[in-house]
Amino acid sequence: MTTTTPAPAAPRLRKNAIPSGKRRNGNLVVGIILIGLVVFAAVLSAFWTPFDPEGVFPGELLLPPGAEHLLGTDNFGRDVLSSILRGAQISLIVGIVAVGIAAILGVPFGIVAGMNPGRLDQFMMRGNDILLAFPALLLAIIFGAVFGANTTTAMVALGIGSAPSFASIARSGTQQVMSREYVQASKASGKNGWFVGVKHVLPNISGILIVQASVSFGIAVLAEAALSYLGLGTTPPTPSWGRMLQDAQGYLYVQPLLVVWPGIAIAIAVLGFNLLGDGLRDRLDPRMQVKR
Amino acid sequence: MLLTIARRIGIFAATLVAASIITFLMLSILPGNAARVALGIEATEAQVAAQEQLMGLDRPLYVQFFDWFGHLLIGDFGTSTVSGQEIGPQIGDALAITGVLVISSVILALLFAIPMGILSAVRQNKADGVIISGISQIGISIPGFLFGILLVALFAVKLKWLPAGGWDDPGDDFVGFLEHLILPAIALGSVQGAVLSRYVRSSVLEVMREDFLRTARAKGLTPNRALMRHGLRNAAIPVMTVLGLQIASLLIGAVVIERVFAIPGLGSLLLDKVALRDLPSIQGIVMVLVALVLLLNLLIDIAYTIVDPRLRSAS
Amino acid sequence: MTTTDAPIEPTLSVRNLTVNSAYAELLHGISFDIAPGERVGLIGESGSGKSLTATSVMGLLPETLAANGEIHLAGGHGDLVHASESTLSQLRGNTMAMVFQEPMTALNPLMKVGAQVAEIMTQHRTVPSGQTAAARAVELLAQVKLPNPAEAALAFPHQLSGGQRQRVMLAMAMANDPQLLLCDEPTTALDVTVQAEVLRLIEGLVTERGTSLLFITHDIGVVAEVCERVLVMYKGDIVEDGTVEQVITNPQHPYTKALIAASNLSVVDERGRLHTIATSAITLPTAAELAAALEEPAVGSPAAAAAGAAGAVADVASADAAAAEPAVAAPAIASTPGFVIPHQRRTDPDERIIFNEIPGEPLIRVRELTRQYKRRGGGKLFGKPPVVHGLRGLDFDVAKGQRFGIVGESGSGKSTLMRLMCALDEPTGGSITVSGQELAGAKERELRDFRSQVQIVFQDPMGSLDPRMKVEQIVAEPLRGVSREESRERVIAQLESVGLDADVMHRHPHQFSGGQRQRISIARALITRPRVLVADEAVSALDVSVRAQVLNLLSDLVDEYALTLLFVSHDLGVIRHACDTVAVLSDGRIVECGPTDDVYDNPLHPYTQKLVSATPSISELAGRARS
Repeated sequence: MTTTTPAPAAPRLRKNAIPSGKRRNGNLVVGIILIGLVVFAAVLSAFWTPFDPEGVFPGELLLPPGAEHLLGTDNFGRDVLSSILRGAQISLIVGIVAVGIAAILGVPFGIVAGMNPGRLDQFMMRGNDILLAFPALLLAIIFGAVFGANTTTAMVALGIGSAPSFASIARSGTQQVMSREYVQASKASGKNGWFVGVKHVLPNISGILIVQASVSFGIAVLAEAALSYLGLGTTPPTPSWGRMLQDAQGYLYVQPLLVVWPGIAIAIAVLGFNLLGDGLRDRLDPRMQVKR
Repeated sequence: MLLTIARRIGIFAATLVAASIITFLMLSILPGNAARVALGIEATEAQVAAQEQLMGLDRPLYVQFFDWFGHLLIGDFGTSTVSGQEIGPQIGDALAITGVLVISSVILALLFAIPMGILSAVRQNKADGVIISGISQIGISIPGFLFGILLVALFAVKLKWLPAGGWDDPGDDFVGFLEHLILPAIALGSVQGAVLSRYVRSSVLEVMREDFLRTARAKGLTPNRALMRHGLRNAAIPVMTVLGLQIASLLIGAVVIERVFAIPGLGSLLLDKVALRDLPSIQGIVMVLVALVLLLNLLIDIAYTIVDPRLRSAS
Repeated sequence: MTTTDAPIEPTLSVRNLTVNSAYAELLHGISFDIAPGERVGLIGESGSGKSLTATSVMGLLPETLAANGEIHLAGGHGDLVHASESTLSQLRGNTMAMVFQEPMTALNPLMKVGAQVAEIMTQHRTVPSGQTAAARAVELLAQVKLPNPAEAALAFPHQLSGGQRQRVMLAMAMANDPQLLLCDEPTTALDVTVQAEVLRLIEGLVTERGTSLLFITHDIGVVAEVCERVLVMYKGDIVEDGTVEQVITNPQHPYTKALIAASNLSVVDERGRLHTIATSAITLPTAAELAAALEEPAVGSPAAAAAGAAGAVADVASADAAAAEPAVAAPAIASTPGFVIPHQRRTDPDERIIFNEIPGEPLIRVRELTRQYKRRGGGKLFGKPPVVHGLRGLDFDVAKGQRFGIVGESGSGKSTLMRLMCALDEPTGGSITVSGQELAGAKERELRDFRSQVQIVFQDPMGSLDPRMKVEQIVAEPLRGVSREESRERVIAQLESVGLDADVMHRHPHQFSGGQRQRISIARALITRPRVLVADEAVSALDVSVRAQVLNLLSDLVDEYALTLLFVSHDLGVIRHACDTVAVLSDGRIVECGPTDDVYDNPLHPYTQKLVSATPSISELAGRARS
C-alpha cells in the first residue's frame, strides 16, 4: 500500500459530533419537567392521595379552595386535588395503550409500503387514506356506540385512529432510507427484505417515530379528555380530567374554579408532550426531515 | 391539468365508496343488533326476529349494504329505528348549523395563523417572534372544548356579555345568531389557528432557506420583498397540505364544541343518537362527516394542483 | 492580458477580508483585485472559503457569519462590508450579479422564467416599463441561446433542463449589464457537454460586454477554459495568484503543486499511480500530517501547510520522470492471452454490434439487454402509460481481469446498467451472465453465489454507509455464515488493506471524512473476496487530492485481488486513468467501445468526439510546461 491515510485523529470526533451540547434545548427540558409532573402525580396517587378521590362527602359540597381541601371539593363533596392526581393515571394509561396500538399497527404497515414501491405501496396507501377519513375521535364515538363507552373502547379506538399517521410517517421515512446507497449495498450483498427492514430502516427512522409517538401521546391525552367530557370515555367513579370538566360545567355559576383545575392538568400534560416532541425533533431529526 | 383533476375526483369517489363500506360494516356487525336496540331489553326472541324481518336485517349483509348505499346516493338516509322519523332532514338541518360554525372557525383560524406564523418566522430570533411562537405552542395544548368552557365562564357567566349556549337562526334573529356564533367560533378557530400558525411558521422558515430566495436577494430584492414576492406562495403549498389534514380534526372538534355550547348541529345530533343507540341515524351522520372530510380534502388537492405548476403538467 | 498593477481603478477590490463564525475564523484576511474585463478563477477544495468570498462580496453571508475588512466596487459605492442593506440591494443584480451552483433550486418554481428575468430589470428600473422588461427578457433568453426564447419565457423552471435553467440564471445576471459577474460553481451540476456550452457562453458574454468575472470552481480544468488569471485558495487564504498558464505550468505554492499534480489524471508514476501529497512527501516526517489535513476540509493548522512546502517539490520531480511512461499500464487480461481489444463504433443506431467480444467464456456476457420503464402519472387517464427506454439493447463482454469503464452523461442509462449488473433490478429483455450464472429472471436464492462475487462501491460517501451502524457492522455486513471471531479478524484485515487502523471499527460513519468513508465502502465491498468490483461514480464526490488517493487505492486493490473492475462514471478522466477498456453509453446504447487510450485519442463516433473535446483538461497545458 503506497497511500495510507492515518486513522482519524481524536479532534474529528468533536467536530462532527451532533451539536447537541452547544445549545440548550429548552423545549426538551420544559417538556420533560411537565411530563415528569404528570408521571409523578400518577405514581403518587397510586399510593397516597389527600382524600379518597372516589369518596363522597355530602356535607362538603362545592367548597372553595382552603386549608383542608387545597383545591376545594366538587358537587359530590369529593376532594378535587385527589381526583386530579388520580386522573393522571387514566390519562397516561390511555396515552400509552393508544400510542402502542397505533405504533404496532402503523409502523410495520408503513415500512412494508415504503419498501415495496409500486402497486403494493399504492394499494396500501389508498387503504391508509380511507382510514385517515375517520378521525380518531369519531372512531371512538362510533366504537362507543357499538361496544359501549368505556376506557377500553376509547383506548382501542384512539389507537386504531392514530395508526394511519404512524403509517404515513413510517412510509415516508422508509422511502428516504431505501433511496440511500447503503441499502443498495446491503441488497447487493444478498440481504433480504427482513434484514434491510430491521437492521437499516427501523434504526434510521426510529428518530421520527419517537417524535411522532410523543406528539400522538399528547393527542391521545387530549382525546381521552374530550371523550370523557362527552360521557363516552372513562366511566364513573374512576376520576378523569375530562369528566371532571363535564361535571364542573354544570356548576359554572356556583364554583367556576372547578373548571380551572382539570383544565390546567390537561394543558400541562398536552403541552409537555408537544414540547417533548418538538425538542426531540430538534435533536433527532436534522439528518432526515420529512421534506416533501 | 384537467386530467390530474379528473384522476383526483376518481380517487375521491373510490375512497368514498370504501369509506361507506367501512362505516356500514362497523355499525352492522355489532353484538347487540339494531332490532334488539329498537325494541328494548325485554323483547322476546320472536319479537326480535319479527323486527329484524321488518327492518330488513335478516337479508345478507351485502344486500343490506347496497340497499343502504343506493338510497344514500339519492339522498335518502332512511328512518330512525328509535323515533321513526326521517333521518335525512334532521341531518340536513344540523349540517347547515355545523357548516356555518366550521366555516367561520376556518376563517378565524386563517386570519390568526397566517400573519402570526409569518411574523414569528421572520422574527424568529427577536422577542416578539419568540412570544408569538410560545403563545401558539400553548394554544395547541389547550383543547378547544376547554377553551370554550373558559370563554363561557368569562363572557357568559362573569361578564354576562354573550349567551352561554344555544343557537338562533340567522333568518329569525341575526344579532342573536351572531351572539350565539361568536364564542364557539372563537373556541374552535383559535385552537386550529394555533396549530396552523406553527405550520405556517415552519413552512416560511423552510422557504427562507431555499436557493431561489437567495437568487431573489442576489437580484437586489430586499429580504422582506423577496419573501413577499417569491417566498409566500411557495410556503403556501405545504400549509395547504396540512390544512387538508386539519379539516378532519376541525370537523370532529366541532362535534365536541357543539356539546359545550348546546348547539343543535351535526355533533350534538350524533351524540344524541349515540346515547339512544339509534344505529341507522349514526350511520348516516358518520357517513356525512366522512364524506365532508374527503370532499374538503379533494378541494384542497385541486387547489394546490392549480397553485403548483409542477403538478399541473401531468407529463 | 490585463494586469492589476495598471493605474486604472479595479472593478473589484478586496482588502484584508476576514469572515468569522462564532467558533472560528473562516477567511484569514484575503486581498485581491479584479481589473475591468478581467476573468479571474477562484479555485480551492471544499471548505477552502471560496464560496464565502463570493457571498461576502454580494453581502449575502448568513447571519451567523460576520465579515470584516474592505470590499470596493469601481464607481465609488463605498465599502460594501459595512454598507447598509439598501445600498447593497441597489448594487446586487445591477452593478454586480451572481450565478449559483444549483440550477435545479435557484429559480422560483412557481414563476415563469421570463417573468423572473424581467423582474431584475423592473426591480432596478433599468427599463421604462413592464412590457419592455418582458420583451428584453425574451431578447436576453435568445442571447443565452435558449431555443425558442419566446416560448421559453413562458415556461416554468421544472419544464427546463439543468443546462437551460443555468442559461436562464445567466440571462438574469447579465440583464442589467453588471460590472462584475460572480459565478459559484455554475457548471458543476451539469453534464460535461452541457458544461462546455455554458462555459463558452459565459466567456462569450463577459468578453463581449467587458464584464469582470470572478469564477469559483474546484476544477482547475474549468478555470483553464474560461479564465485568464487564477487565485488558489487553501483553508481561508489565497496561497497563489497568477495567470492560468503560470499557475498550471509553474506552480509556486506547495498546495498548488499538489493540487495540479493530483488533478492531472494523465500523469502517473512508474507503477501507474497518480501523484498525491503522500507519495511525494513520504520521506518527510510531516507527510502524514499534511495528508490528513488535505483529506479533512477543516480549519487546519498553518504548520501543516508549510510543512507540505518541501514535500510537494519532490512530487513534481517524480511527475516529470513519469511523463515519459505510458499513462496506463498495458491491459492485463490474464485469462485471454494474446487477445486484442477491438475498437468498435456504432454507425446505424439500430444495428446489433457485440462490443468487446471475448472468445470462449467471458466472465461477464451481456446480450440484447433492454430495460424499459413505465412512466406513472403521464399521458392519458386510460390506456397504456408511456414507455421510457432506459436501455435499448446492449451487447458486450467483459473478460476476467479486465478494467472495463462505462462512461456516459445523465440519462445515458449507465446507472440502469449498473443496477442490472448487480442484480438490483430486473431487465425487461435480454440476458446477463456472470461466470455462467444468468441474472435475468433469477430468484434471490439462486443468486447467493453471485452476491458474494460481485460487490459495489457507491458514489456518495455520506449515503453509502448506514449512519446508525458501527464500522465493524458495516464492513462485516456482506459476510454470511461466519463466526463472530472470524468476522472480526477479517474486518480488521480488510480495514488495514484500505489503509485504516483496526480501532476505527467502533466508530460511526459520521466521524470520518469523505475519503475515509470511501475507504470503508471499499473494505465492505472486498470482504467477501469478490471477483468483480463495480465502482459507481466512486470518486465523483471527492475533492481532487482525495480522489487521487482513492483511485490509487482502487488500482492497488484491483491488482492485489486480481479483480475484474467495472467502473461507471461521467468523468472521462477518471475512466481513462482507472480502466483499460471503455464503453461510451449514449441514450441507452453503446456507441463506441475499445481500448481506453485509442478511444480517447482517436474517437470514432461523433458523440464520443463531442464528449472528449468537451472535457476540460489541463494535461495539454501541463504537458507544455515540460516540453
